[in-house]
Amino acid sequence: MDGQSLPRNPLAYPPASPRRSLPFSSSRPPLHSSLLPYPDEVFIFLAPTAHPLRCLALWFPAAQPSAAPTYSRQRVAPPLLPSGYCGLVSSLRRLGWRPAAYCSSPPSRLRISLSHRRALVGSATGKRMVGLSEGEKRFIRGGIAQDLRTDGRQRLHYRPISVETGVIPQANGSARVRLGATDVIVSIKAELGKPHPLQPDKGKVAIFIDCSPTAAPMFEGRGGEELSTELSFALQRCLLGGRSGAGAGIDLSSLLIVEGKVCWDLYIDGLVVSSDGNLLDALAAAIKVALSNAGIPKVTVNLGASPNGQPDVDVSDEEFLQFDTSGVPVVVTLTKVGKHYIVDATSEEESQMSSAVSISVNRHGHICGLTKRGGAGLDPSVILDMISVAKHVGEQLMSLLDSEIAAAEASAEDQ
Amino acid sequence: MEYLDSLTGFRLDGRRPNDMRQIRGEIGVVAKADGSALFEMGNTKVIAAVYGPREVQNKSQQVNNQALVRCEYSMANFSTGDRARRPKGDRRSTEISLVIRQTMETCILTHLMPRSQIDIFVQVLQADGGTRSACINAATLALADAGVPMCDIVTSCSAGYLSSTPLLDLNYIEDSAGGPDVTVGILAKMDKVTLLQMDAKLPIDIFENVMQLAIEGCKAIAQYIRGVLLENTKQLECCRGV
Repeated sequence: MDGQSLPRNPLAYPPASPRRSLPFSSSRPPLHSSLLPYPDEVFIFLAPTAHPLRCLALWFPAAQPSAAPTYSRQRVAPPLLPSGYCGLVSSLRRLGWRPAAYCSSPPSRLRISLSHRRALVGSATGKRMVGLSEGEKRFIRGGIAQDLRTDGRQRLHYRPISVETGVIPQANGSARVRLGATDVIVSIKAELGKPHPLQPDKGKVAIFIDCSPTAAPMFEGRGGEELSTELSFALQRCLLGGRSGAGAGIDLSSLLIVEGKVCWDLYIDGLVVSSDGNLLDALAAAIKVALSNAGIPKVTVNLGASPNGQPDVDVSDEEFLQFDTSGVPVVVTLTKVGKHYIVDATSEEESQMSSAVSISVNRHGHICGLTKRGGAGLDPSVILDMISVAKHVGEQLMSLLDSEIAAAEASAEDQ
Repeated sequence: MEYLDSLTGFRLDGRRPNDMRQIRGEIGVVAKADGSALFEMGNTKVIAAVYGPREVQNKSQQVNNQALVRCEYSMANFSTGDRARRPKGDRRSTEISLVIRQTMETCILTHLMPRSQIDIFVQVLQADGGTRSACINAATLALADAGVPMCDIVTSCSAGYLSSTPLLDLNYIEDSAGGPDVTVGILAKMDKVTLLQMDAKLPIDIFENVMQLAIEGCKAIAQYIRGVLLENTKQLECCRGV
């Protein structure tokens, strides 16, 4: 690596106001030629400095992502950056650079408009990615149309998923699931309660989701309430079935202790710590993992001990019963962007969606619940097509999760 | 209840009176935030995320000669032993938000960023006493990660007085014993106290000892935090290829 051509301290480097033409040569074929109608177009990347309203700029010809980019006034050594736009964007992002603009023809004067500045200075996750430039939007849509997304995935590929169990020691079961930059924690707590009068032979399960303001400033105060409620209800629909409890992924009758008198109330609390799209799938996966991690204390019932008919329940604090989680479905959200649909959309991709369908699929390939979000209408045949795709993707996700659960439990036992 | 073993002098969780719980700090836990950190003190675990400096969202709050610092403290439903659905913005969390905001404001060089806003969000994942201190330590790490200019690092630690012994870094059981609980925040390098809170009554000479113990704890945390930041900077340097 040619370290000499990089400024020693990038933060101390003067802000961007360059006046120079860009180096061009046409020796290499363009990567995304159909995406880039004009070979003269340039991508501009910006990185923040210590000063809130100043930034560093870097740009390179769009038709030639592997060509040496210009770094403020200096050129970066080519070996620093991998070839290909996808690798380039992700490695630049890792270094703190953010795509900011997509201009036609090399700019003689680089003007950073207020919105780009806001994209840099302000948060990335503010109101539905306001910081997305026109060029980025086009790039995301074009990439999806070509089955090559900005992070190098195909349309039906998930991001790497990482699973941790037992993260909340005081809960009966807990799990943390990370899906790319999305990070959720789910805890399960069991409390003794009374069955619902209409369903005396079943226990109760409630799902509460909270969006932490750490995930996005818009969740501050009551700002996250709308999304939290939407997620809670969508998960209830997908995992718990109807009001009668029919079709629930969790066997509610296994939560019963004494018919009509005592049952377990299962409280499933989810917390969104970091959000980068596809919260529903991540939460559903975390609930599935947390349920398989959960141990419900064994109880011994002493019937008729008390005169008022309330059975005497003795909760063991040594013996625990495991849940049967084989019936718990996974949720696959298909996000429609343009003419195609993708799984596991990032928040940038979600900002471009026309509609999204969340389908929960169980081990037998049955559909357990379905939610459609977003404004645009969908053709019924497309929905049926989506369901069959979701079923296929769900099977893969299920087996992936099963192996992750086994690995997480093995590592938890080692400790 | 006996908080100190009369024979060995050990506390309920096996620590000596002036032992701190195990502390751990991690930088960059929230990918989308400008700066973020996780801080653990024993079983207490908090996440802090910093957004900004950025444009002021509510123009009427804009300050023309310095940055606006805001803070929100929230507790997860599952953070305490018995599950409780907590409403947002109850009196306790409002008070802690205020304490954290005032403490962090003293060390941020707000005059360098006029007409901008810095948001600090702290989320308690597990509460086992000393959440206030853990939140301040996490916020310091997150602010440093976000590159917000600060004059010094603030660290905080609590100390109490039970069974006629000053105890460092109280856990939940010791905290709810009803004895005095002194929370101290210091600017580590300048050696100045920026936060001091105590409930219950204490003779003045004992208070001096308890506060001195808490300050010692703060200094130990400051040293640890400096190590974490140095390690993180080395990694960043490596990433940049400098």
